[in-house]
Amino acid sequence: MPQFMKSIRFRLLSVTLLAVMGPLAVFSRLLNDQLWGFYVSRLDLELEAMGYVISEDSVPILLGEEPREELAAVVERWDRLMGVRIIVADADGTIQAGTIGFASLKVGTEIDDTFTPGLRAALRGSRNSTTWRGPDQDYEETMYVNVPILSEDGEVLGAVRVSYSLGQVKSGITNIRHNLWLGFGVYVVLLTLIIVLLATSLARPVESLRKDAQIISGGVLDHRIEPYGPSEIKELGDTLNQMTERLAGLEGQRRRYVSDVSHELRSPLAAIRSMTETLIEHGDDDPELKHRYLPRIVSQTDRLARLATQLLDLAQIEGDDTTQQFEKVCLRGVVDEVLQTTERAAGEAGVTVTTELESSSLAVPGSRDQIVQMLLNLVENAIRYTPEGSLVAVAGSREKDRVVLSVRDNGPGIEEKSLPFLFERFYRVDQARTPNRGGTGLGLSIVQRIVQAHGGSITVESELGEGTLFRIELPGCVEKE
Amino acid sequence: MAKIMVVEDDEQLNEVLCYNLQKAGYQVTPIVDGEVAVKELAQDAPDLLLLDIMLPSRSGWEVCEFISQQTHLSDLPVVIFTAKSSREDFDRARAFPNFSGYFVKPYATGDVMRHVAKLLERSAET
Repeated sequence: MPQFMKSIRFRLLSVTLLAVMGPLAVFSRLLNDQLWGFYVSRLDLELEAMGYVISEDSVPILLGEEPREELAAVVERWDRLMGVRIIVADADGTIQAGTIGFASLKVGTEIDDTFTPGLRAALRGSRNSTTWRGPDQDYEETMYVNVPILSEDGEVLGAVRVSYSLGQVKSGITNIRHNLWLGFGVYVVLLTLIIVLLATSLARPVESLRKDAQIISGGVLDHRIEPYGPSEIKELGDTLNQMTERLAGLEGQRRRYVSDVSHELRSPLAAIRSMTETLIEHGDDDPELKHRYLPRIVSQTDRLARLATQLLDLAQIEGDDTTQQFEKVCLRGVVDEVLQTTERAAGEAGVTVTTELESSSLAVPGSRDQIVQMLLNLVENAIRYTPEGSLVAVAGSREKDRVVLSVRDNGPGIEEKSLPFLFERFYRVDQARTPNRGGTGLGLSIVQRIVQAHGGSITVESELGEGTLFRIELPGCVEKE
Repeated sequence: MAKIMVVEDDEQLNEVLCYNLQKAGYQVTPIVDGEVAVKELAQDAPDLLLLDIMLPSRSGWEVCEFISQQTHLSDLPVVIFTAKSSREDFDRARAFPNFSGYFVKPYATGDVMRHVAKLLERSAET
């Protein structure tokens, strides 16, 4: 389909014109048939009426009560008045008078079936009418009405034939049709104008929206659309604006994220580089330096590696729609796995981790790997940020159709002003960074994203000197009693 | 002996920088917090300030702001350290009257030491 045929203007115009022209053509055809039928039946009646009047006038003449010459006068009078052609024949079939078109028909000649169709039937007493085109195409179609001339006692004295050219009826109808089509033509031209205006008023705001969208897709995310036109198009423009705002927001977030990631990568790299350079420069004169810096370099490298892994985890959690691959995750198994993984770190930090599950059948629909990671991050955090001798308690219980998982520690607690930012990427409570603890600032972000991906919620309560409680609510699996 | 204040919140980085400066014979004050830096600067002006931008409690920019309002700090050369490599940050740093150098992490310690030596030589001449 050519491009212009897909435009609003073309489609509206073509559909409307088809919708108007089709019925108009049918209507015009019907009108033509109706008018033709109506005029022909009217003509038949009129010619018959004339035939009977002439027949009555002819009775005394044919009976010989009045002179034969009178007959010609009667015929001439009607011819003059009505423009009809008339033949009057006597009972023997001899033409007595007439306004005759055909050369073969003359007063005093015998009628015949070719040139006077139906007249012989009228002489037998039956009124009839017929249409005839004449002996060749030079003649117009003509209607013939034949009426018998009857005496008072019913004797057939002769017959009258009255004829009228149907060509005149046809030209009358054609005239009406021409006028009708002229009216239609004016109507269609006006309609076309209205539709073109309407289509333009529809197409212009759409075209303007398209231009705006093109600017936006070119990357100008602060471009704002001022939509006009029909309400639907205005709404579309408003929606586009909302979309662009959201995109701009996301783009801003992305930039901040990339900048944050760059920052987070550069800090450990700076420490590694500085320590290595210092070792190269002063390592020989100061043997103590080696023991101090080399373990730090190793732990900074670990931190970089963990950061890389967690960035990837975060990207995967945010990028995937994992709800499709949810399975029944049994919390008993998850807790055991997390405990095993953190056993060594807890031992080294001197932290005791306890677990208490209300029921060993506690389960949630989800991704097992993600649920393990979620709990692991919380437990690792608790171990990392609590002093030696602290307790970390992992608990699971069921509340109606939800499963509640909590991780509580009796560590130093978190300041209230930090709580709102706790789940933000790269936010760390100990702002004077202590990299030996190895936090990347991504652990809690990952936890929050996993909880969200599982349709749950996470809250944190903390009191300085008392400890911290992370509480996760997840939709639970239906438990079989 | 020239006095240098090192404001860097990464403790390991702070320590290693201070170690190098001390080895080169400077007197060093290590600080890990923006607020503490401002308090120290209000009392005493060092000969040189090495300043990180991302700091807890008060950012490096706020410390710069504070310095530009203090008459006794008007001659203090400030070298900016940052983990951000954006053009805007560099332009912002350069607009600061006391701006005397800009290092993006991870920087070469040798470059920093040479730059510090040059700055302190110059200020010793004036």
